[in-house]
Amino acid sequence: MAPAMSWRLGFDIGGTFTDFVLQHVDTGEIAVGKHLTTPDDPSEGVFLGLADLLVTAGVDLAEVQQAVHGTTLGANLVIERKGATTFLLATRGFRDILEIQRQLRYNINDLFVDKHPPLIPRNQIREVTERVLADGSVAVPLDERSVREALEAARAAGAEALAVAYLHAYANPAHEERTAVLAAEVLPGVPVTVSSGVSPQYREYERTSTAVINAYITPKFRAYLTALEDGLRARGFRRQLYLMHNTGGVATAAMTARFPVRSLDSGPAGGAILATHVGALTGQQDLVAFDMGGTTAKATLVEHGRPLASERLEVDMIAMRPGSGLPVNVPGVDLVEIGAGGGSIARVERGLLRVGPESAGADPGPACYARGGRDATVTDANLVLGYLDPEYFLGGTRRLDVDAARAAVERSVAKPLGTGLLEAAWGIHQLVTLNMEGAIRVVSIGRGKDPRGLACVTFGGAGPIHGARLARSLGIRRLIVPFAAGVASAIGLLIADARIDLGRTLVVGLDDAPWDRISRLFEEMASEGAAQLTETGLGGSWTVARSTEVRYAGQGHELPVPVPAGPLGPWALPAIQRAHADVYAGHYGYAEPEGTPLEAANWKMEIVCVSPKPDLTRRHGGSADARAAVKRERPVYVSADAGFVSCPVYDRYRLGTGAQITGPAIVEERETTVVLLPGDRGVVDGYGNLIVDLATQ
Amino acid sequence: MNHRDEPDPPEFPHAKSKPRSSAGFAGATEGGGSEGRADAPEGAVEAPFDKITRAVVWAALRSIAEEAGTALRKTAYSQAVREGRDFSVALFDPRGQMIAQGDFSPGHLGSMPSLVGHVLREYPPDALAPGDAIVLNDLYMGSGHLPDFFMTTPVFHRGRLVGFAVNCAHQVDVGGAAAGSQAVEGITEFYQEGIRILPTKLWRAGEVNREVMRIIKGNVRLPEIVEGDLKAMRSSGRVAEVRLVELFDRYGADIVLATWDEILAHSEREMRAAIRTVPAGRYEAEDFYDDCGRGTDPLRVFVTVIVDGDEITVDFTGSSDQTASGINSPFNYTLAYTWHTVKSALVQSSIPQNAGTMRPIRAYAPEGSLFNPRPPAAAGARAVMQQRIVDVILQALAHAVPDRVIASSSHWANPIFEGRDPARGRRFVYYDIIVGGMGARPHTDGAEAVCGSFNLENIPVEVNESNYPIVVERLELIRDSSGPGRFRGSSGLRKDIRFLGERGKLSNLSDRHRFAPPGLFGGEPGALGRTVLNPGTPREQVLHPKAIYPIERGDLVSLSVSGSGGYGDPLDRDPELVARDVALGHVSVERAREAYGVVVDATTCRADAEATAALRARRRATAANDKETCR
Repeated sequence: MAPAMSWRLGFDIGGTFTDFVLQHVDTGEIAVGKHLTTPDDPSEGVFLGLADLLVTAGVDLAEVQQAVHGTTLGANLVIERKGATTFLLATRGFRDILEIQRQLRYNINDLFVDKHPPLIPRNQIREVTERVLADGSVAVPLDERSVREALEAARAAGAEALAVAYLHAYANPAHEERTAVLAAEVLPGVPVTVSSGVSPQYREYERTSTAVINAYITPKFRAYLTALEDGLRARGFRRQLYLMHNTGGVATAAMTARFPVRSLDSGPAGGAILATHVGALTGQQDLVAFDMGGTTAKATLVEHGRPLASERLEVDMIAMRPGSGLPVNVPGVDLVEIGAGGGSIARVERGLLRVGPESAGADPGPACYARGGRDATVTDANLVLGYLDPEYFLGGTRRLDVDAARAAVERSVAKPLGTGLLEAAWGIHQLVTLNMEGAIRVVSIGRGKDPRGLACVTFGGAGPIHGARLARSLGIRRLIVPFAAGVASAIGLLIADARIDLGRTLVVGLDDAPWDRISRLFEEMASEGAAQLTETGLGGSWTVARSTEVRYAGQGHELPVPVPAGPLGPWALPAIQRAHADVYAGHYGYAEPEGTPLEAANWKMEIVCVSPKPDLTRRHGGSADARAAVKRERPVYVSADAGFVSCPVYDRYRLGTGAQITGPAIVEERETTVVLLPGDRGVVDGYGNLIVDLATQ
Repeated sequence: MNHRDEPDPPEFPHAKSKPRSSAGFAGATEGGGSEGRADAPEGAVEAPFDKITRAVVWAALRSIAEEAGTALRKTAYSQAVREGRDFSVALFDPRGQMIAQGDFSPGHLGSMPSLVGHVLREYPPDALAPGDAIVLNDLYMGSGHLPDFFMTTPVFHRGRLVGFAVNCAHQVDVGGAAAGSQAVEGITEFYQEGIRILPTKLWRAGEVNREVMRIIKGNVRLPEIVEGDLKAMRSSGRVAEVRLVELFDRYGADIVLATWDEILAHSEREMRAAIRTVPAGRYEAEDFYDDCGRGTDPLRVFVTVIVDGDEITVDFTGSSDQTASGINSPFNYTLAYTWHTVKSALVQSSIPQNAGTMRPIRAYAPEGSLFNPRPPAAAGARAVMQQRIVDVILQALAHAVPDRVIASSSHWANPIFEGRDPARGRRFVYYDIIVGGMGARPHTDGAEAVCGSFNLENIPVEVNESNYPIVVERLELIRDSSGPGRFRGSSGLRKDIRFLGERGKLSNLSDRHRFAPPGLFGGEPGALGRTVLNPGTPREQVLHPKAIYPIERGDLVSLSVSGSGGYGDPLDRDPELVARDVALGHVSVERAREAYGVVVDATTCRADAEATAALRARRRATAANDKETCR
């Protein structure tokens, strides 16, 4: 008899750690694990860590009804240039699209500025005789001989993957599709990515880059997925493996294998999903999710109970400068990521204190890891200021060296600035907090949202240390620290819904739009979506949202606007106009007069299959009397005025529903530490979240 | 509990913070002690307070400038702004000193320091009110040509003028003799170049001045686009205004203004320190612009860089006189690129770009010369001059700091096509910009396809083809066009554009068709650029880089921009690098042999070490012989 399928498993591979969460379907009970990531073969770390957790929790893989995985494998393959030998077929005359890029000098004052060399060298790019025009008409028919020649050359050179990106293929994919058919003959078994399949949108560099990145990561991504699925099956797992996508939705491993670029950097999306869910549980529809780990901090705006989406990602940015990375046209959670993490290095440059974006990473790590790191990092400053307990880092599994931290801060910052040690550490703490504040401003004010009306959900290993100070400097009143905040992204994997995103480019003026044609586009997308949903094998109710990207005729940047349901006609125009005017005014402070002609470029459909949410209510114990959870007191640096103040240190696992604490205070759990400032009032809710009302003047 | 009654830190000081006499730097940084600090005596400010607050305010200023720039780009109508990033944003103190700039086009920003001064002369502080926005495009007040519109937004905090947000955007057309308003030939004074606006309130207390807007729209070829861009500039100014007010709210006006002064002083000190690392002396360099229109002579660019202690002067004496054409560099523009080049060479971006940084860097050009023309000299096409200013100053600085400069970069082409679009039944102006790469560096090859002077993004082929009746048939790096050297220059770039409009005209604007970008220390020049109409057909015609031509439906315009110069002797280049260039198709087997003395097998693309060593030995002997003979 089959065992009861009572558990769900989420695992998230990060740069330093792989995080695991097991949750019981009925009781909501969770078990958490962490294992060092094994970069050479990430599945190895998964199996080792998983084995540990299963033993600790007394669970058998056969009892797991669903496994959801988040990974940055795709992004890492790109960043480390470890993808497949990839060939690109391009329209004749355009072999240099990848090298020319958009030509932006992302640092104008640097004579020695460099951009990324193309992901694939020029001799792996072949030109094909063909040409489609902007309206989809064919100016030069596809010359199949030139295609075969290019494919033969690729075969001779040992191509492991192929990308096809022709001009205007978004408007007419026939040449790309025919090329794919020929490729299957000449290069059997070699995966082919066509640009119109992975990203049917205009702007040739971005679309080509997307196709090439997808092709480049496909062989290793598929091999990895196969190894993972086989390994799980061999260990008794009987169900399907799901992957988190950049959008925060999940899809099956098989679906992901077709377009792995959709799961390029999916771990952080899990955090945004968790924050959204926590917001829903605590009655916060509008919030900012703030995730701070070892290397970077990520901020996401959640509006009306949904994380904001973006149409394009950038991978492998240089010094976090926008425009320096490789563009990827796949929808994703709109994350702003900056180089501000526990490992961010502080230094003095020409008399100015700077923090990040360089990170000491996991190796050698901050000076206090005592693994040879000499640079002062944010974690070192936080240790000097008493926010971290040297004996309880990662639940005490790693002892931190306070003397090494003090020496590094003294050497790298205090001395060059001519300040005392504490001022230097305090300066580092404040400056990194300010940098993160900038990121939150970008996702709030930059998206037309006043942060003062938002709550902040903070998580990640370092997020809860900085959250209270960060939130109040933005005028945010409420801070929420979810239970197990240090592995929140993995928990988010278990909350995510299955989701399919479809899109088509059709640039039209809306005053006399071809509504029948647009309706047909939506019908096509609907049937494609239905087929994909069936493939996910997930039950539950579906929701369909249609939207289009609209601009005033003549502008170059569009804003997303909902499209009403049903067959379209001129009747739909007023609603679209009104919605666009609202969104536009929200972003830019004004809208053009009513009746100003509009254009739409991309038509989108988003299908979500709402999965049952895990019950989080009974996953923690503890007492409603916070005093019972005090482990000890320790001095914590509160402000320059107050200096060190002795604060109670609470054991988070002993804080039960209803427990109340007042800052200044420290709350410790194994994977993170929460810092509450004077006057902050926290209460533990029924889900184990610590809800903090921040003190105001 | 252990905490004080006074919560710390407060969120925003406008929530009535009590003055505190002993606010440490922390409180002030957080915003809490700001009002209190205003009362503190000058000398009481502790050093750590200054340093950390300065870092915090500086970071905030940069992000404000960036955010305002993003708002401008995303709401703009013209491709020049929204795709080409031909715009800038800067923030000023109440005296009109530039405090910070976003990383946008340097040509606008160098011109800005005197800009707010011009606005203030017309509208003294008591004539300014919240919601005002002042526009100007006078070339001598602004950035040297009429298409650049500047908008100045005064910023008030609790009724007090605390600064200005200024942005500048290149308008796709401002009227005048030719579409795009940057013709070269037949232009003798700026009155021929389009509408010229002296400082004028285009918004008054938040309301657009419709009369002035109508005058502007009545004088330009694409009135809707220009109006759209002016509105985008307005919304960018408002973003900057709102954010600056927040900064003042949080830290208090006196603290922010004092910090600004300190940022300027600090920047100046650091810039001076950087200049002191350059050996004192006079360093000269010379180069030429092709000409200023058909049948004209080359224009000489001669600079003497004088390094004296902690100051640098770039003297353009010896350069040509001003011209009777659209090619002249009003002094603001000369100054802009002088500042930009010296700063890029000496300190990169580690010092804030502001008025303080610029103080120790001076430019001089005799009145009436190419680099300091007298009004009403025209200057619509002055952008074509900027790359040479950078090149020549770097060539001069190479004598002093060889490790901090690059060889001369490629030049760009900025063709403007106009005509009637038969499918859409309307007139159009299609502005394109084709950019080569940067000169070779002391330790690496030149960066491919990145502009060496101003900053922009190219406009995607698919975007241009969606908007205009054109088809781009080729966009590629040109083989064998890079300047050979131990490190080679970047390749030239070729773009072929098929014109499918009617009643067309092409205003060509480029350079380096006669004088190639030179190399450094034995590095050789890049290949020349050229523009060819209908290449390879009986109607083939080489076009002048600064002339206007009628074009017909179906004509193909092929624009090639120059390669850039090499750095060091090409015979010293690692043969493996040459072989790689051959494998990638950047360099031919013949060129590898001729220019680098490297023998590469055409099939395997491998360098033949023995044959290469022999060939290089012969070439070196010949070179030594030639030298001997010359003596």
